[in-house]
This record gives sequence, C-alpha cells and structure tokens, in this order.
Amino acid sequence: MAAGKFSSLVHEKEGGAALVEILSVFDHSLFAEMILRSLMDSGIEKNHIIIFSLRQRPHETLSLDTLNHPDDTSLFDLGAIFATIFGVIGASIGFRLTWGPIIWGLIASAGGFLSGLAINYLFTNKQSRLLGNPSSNSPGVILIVQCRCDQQRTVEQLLWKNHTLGLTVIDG
Amino acid sequence: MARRYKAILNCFGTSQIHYRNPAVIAWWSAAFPGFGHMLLNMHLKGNILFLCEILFNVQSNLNLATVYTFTGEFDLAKNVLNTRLLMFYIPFYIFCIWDSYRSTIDLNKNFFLAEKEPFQMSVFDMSTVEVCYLDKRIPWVAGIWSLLLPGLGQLYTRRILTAFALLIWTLVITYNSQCLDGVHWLFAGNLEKARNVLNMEWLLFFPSLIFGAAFDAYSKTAEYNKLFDSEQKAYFQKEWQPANFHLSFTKRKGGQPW
Repeated sequence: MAAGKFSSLVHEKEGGAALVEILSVFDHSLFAEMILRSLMDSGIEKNHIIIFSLRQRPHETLSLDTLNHPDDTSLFDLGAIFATIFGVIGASIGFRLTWGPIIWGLIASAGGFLSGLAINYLFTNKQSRLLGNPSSNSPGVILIVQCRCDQQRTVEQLLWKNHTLGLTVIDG
Repeated sequence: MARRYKAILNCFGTSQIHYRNPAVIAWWSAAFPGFGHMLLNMHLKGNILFLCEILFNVQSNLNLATVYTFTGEFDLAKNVLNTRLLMFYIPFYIFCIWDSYRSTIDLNKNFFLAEKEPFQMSVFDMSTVEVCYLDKRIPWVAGIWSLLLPGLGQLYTRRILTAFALLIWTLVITYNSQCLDGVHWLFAGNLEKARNVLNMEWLLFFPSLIFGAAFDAYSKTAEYNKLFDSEQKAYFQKEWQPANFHLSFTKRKGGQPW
C-alpha cells in the first residue's frame, strides 16, 4: 500500500468518492468560529474538521523573580506618563506666557509623548521589541477539513467568504 | 467553580487579571489618585479615591498653588492654599500610590496561580439592559477616542463602568475649568480673554485625565484582544480537536492514511 509519507494514490471510501484535505489559515477572530458553523451547516461532519491554534515564539518563562517585570510592555507606557508630566508643567508655566496655558500645555504634552516614545524605543531590548504585535499572543489558527471531491468547491468558497488568509488542497 | 479565575464578562464590562508592572500603576496613581485602582479593574476603590481627590484638591486650592509654584510666585502659592483640608492630602496621596503598588503585586501573584486554570468566562452576555460580547477591537482607535473625550474609548471597548465614571468626571472638570470657553476664544484669536476665562484649579486635572483615559483605553483594548485569542484557543482545544482525526500525511497504525 502506501510507500512513504506522501502517498500519491487516491484512496476510495466505501461511497466511491475521492477524498481531499483542505488546509487553511485564519486570524483569531469571530470569523474563525463562524467558518466552523458554516462548514457544519453545509454537511461536513464534526470529526472531519480540526482546528489548531498557533503558538508564539517562546519568551523566557516567567518565574516568581520576573513576575513583576513582564517582557511585553506597551510601547506607549512611558509616552503617556511623560505626556502627563510635561502637560501639567507646561500648562502651569503657560499661564504666565502670552499664548496661554492650553497651547503651551498641548505643546509640552506632545513633546513629552515623543520623548517618552523615543526613550522607550532606544532603551528596550531589541528582542522584546521584535516580538511583534502587542495586542495578540497567537499568530493565527490552522483549520483542516477532510471532505469528498465534490464538496471541495463549496468548502473553498466558504473559506474565502469567511476571510481566510490562504488555503491549500492536499489530495488524499 | 475553580478557586481562582482569569477573566469574566458581563453587561458592565470585561475584567481580567494579568501581569502588570507595579511601577506603571503606581505612577498613574501619583498622577491621578484612584486611577491606578481603576486600571486594575478595582472600580469601587478607584472611584471613591478619585472623589476624595477632587474634594481635597478643590477645597484646598492645591492645583492653583502648583501653578503659582511652577511660575515662581511662591508668596501667592502660600496665600492661596486653604489649610482646612490640606493636611489630609498627604496621607491620602501616599496611600493611593502605596495601595495600588501593593495591589498590583498581589494581583500578579494571583494571576500566577490562576494562569493554568481553564477559562470560566462566557463570551456572550445578553440581559434586558445591555448586550455584551467578546470581540477584537483596534487599540489606537480606542486611544484616540478617549483622547478626544475621556470615556468614549472605554465605551468602544465595553468597559462600561470606567466609561461612566470618566464621562461624568470629564463633564464636571470641563465645565468648572471653562476649558471649552478658552479654546473658543483661542480660535477667535483673543489670547488675553482666553487666558482670563480659564480656571487653573480645574484645568490642571486635564492632562492626567486625558492621557490617563487614552492610556487605559489603548492598553486595555490590546489586553482584551489577547484575552480573545487565549479564550478562543482554549475553546478550539476543548471542542474542535476530535480524537479520531487523522491527517492524510501521517501514518495510522497499520500504514493506511484514511
């Protein structure tokens, strides 16, 4: 029978239809759950669908020592803090200057925000900065559907309709 | 129900615990007493403290004295401070900073214990007053909305209680400081009138309010997005990974792929 991992023979099920596997990639979102419901509605059985969530690049594991210093600090932490400090000082000093507290407060806040961003950018570890999207801890999900040849068209259309990032068809 | 859990969702908002830097929370408590607690989702504590802060500050003219100090008029500063409530401000302020710092460390420890527990939150809550569901939102959009009017970004991200508190405080502070009057005169070109109409005591709350609200909206939106990912991952692992599923390119026992 099968010789090696990637068999190129098309296997037949009892019904007589050839089987394919469709592998597709999604972002974590409500669409990832909607596609599951749509696939079930179009007749694919639940034990012919599987979905895996991708893991991120591993950080150094958090122990009690590093508990209070998490790696993925937001880029805007320091910016917001500096913006507040400089805003208060700028507004106070601007009270006695011609332009008034509002304009000087805004200028000082903007300056503070930019310097906070700059300091954060220059002094954070390049590694932790490259760790990608601060608002996501999983790059996506991989969905694998096993279906008959004649269902392949329907499944592909459903996947594209639900915003898949890409798909591929693996012939049995 | 497990002994500790990580997140909860209902009509009043979504709450979760995760690792936070205690210095950042303590800093925000220093800028805006009570805000550190609101960042930790301790809304009752935070709002009570913030109410006290406004009362103490306004009654003792502390912001006005700050302005005079920064512009070098120390005599004016000394005269304008009202000693009726001033001394209480010192223990109150230090308590806010210390308590938020301590609470952050405690919550970090609690998260360390709760991290491996399975998720026990609902992703959808509908009652007669509100419909609430977990979904992804765009962080910088929430930040900008809260920058323009503190509280809007929080409404975008479903933090109803924080939004409510921030909107009310923004109303009070904007009205009393006559900030919008000042902006109106600025646009009309009358700088002198703009400066005279502003009430510095209330105006100095503004930077902390605006940037605190924007920071809260931005960072919480990013965190809720991560919560959505983790919850969906746990759901997929529980429900959608059938035990008898075999991929075509891995061998079953017996060597037959399907």
